[in-house]
Amino acid sequence: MKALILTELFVLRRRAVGKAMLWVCTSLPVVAAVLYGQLSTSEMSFNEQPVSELLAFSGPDATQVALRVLHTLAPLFILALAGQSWAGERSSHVLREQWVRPVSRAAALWAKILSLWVMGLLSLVGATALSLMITTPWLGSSGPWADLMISITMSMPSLLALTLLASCVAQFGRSTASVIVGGVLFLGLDVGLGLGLSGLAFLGVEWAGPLKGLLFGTAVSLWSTAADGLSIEAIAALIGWLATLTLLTWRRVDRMEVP
Amino acid sequence: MASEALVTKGLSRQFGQRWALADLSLKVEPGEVFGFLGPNGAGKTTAIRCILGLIAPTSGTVEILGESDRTRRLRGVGSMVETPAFHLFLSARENLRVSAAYGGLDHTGIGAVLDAVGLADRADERVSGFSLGMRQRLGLARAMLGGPRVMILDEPTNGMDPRGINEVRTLIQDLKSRGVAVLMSSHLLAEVSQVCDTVGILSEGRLVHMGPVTPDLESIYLSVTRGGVH
Repeated sequence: MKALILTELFVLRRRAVGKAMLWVCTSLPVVAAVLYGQLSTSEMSFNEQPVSELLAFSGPDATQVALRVLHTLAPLFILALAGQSWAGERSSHVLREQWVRPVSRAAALWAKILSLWVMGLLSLVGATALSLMITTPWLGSSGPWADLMISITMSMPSLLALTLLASCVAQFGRSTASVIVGGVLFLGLDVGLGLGLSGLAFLGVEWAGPLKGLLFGTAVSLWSTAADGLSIEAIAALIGWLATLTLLTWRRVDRMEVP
Repeated sequence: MASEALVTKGLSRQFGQRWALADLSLKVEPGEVFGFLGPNGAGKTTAIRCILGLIAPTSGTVEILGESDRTRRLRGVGSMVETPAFHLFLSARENLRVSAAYGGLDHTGIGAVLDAVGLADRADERVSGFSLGMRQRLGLARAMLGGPRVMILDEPTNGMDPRGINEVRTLIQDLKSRGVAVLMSSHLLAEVSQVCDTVGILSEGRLVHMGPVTPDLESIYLSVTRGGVH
């Protein structure tokens, strides 16, 4: 299994999208953290108050900004890579060549999922480490370290859930492009539902709040909300999504007929 | 331990209302080269896909080296289905490393199989620059990884030049002499008659003739199939 994961990781890192993911998801969050740090010396004001006094500036604060950018960029790259790993390999018959080897489909499925997750984790480690290395000496180290550590820790299951979603969507798509479109549509619909339910909750509809807690977007946002307190419902929603996506993906893979 | 290398019993596959393969029963012994012959669309590739577990049969069973489980029966099997596919952004050697990992094999035999198909000097070039014939050779190298005891080849000489075709014939004879059971499909009468011991002729999904290769293969083929000579 370890050899399979390393092999799949090797293939992902050699793909143009894989290389782009590692570069973009590491560098752009760092750029965002540096730009955020620039605000500490800015003369910009908001409601007649200087922005440098409105916001907190430290290495951990700037790295939280980097994490936010990473979590915005990563889903697109994960969808693209999952699309290439499943839909792309199926249409180019590479998947057929793998499945005529004596490897169980479960092992092949987990090798692809875990290697994709590792790509997300490499981006996470790269972006946070670089951001901290640059912004902490510059902006200072006294900041919300505990919150940052919770965000980094909860980013791991969030990235796994995104990887499983992308892998699941990839079982239904016929090309990389269709996987990206399908994944973005799902995420967009999820955001739309979240906004709608927030509105209903604001108007006093009792069931809207709990229902919003079950949405995929709420579950994968745990990395940003966990610092305010981890709720059992949110963790249950995340575990529920992980289990559902795993089962759906496995069902498709087990029954898949390869051309 | 089973004496037959490959056994299928009543193997059938239906696509919609059409039976692409109906009641295929055959046995291939170790050291035997069995040729599937038939016009395009006769069911040769469907049979090979069912045997390799790429598609599920509607009914019937497949046993390779005594194993019927989809994963376990592929141990000791080398295969090449139609035009072999590769990661085009990887080199020939890297592609074989990926296949070796999926086969649970180490990398030690890669150099030898690349040498056997005449690609040793192109091993570190990207497959995207390979011709169809070179990809076919690389597909054969991949099929030979790990020293299989059963080789399943679907149109192995497709796209090859005469020299390559001759090398494949030599390779199959070499496999036979080492006791490897070979199941190959072709729509070329000459190819099957030159390398195979036994021939099975498929027509419209049914095995309409099975027996040793004889000089009158062409007339048998014409009498049992409705298509022309290919």
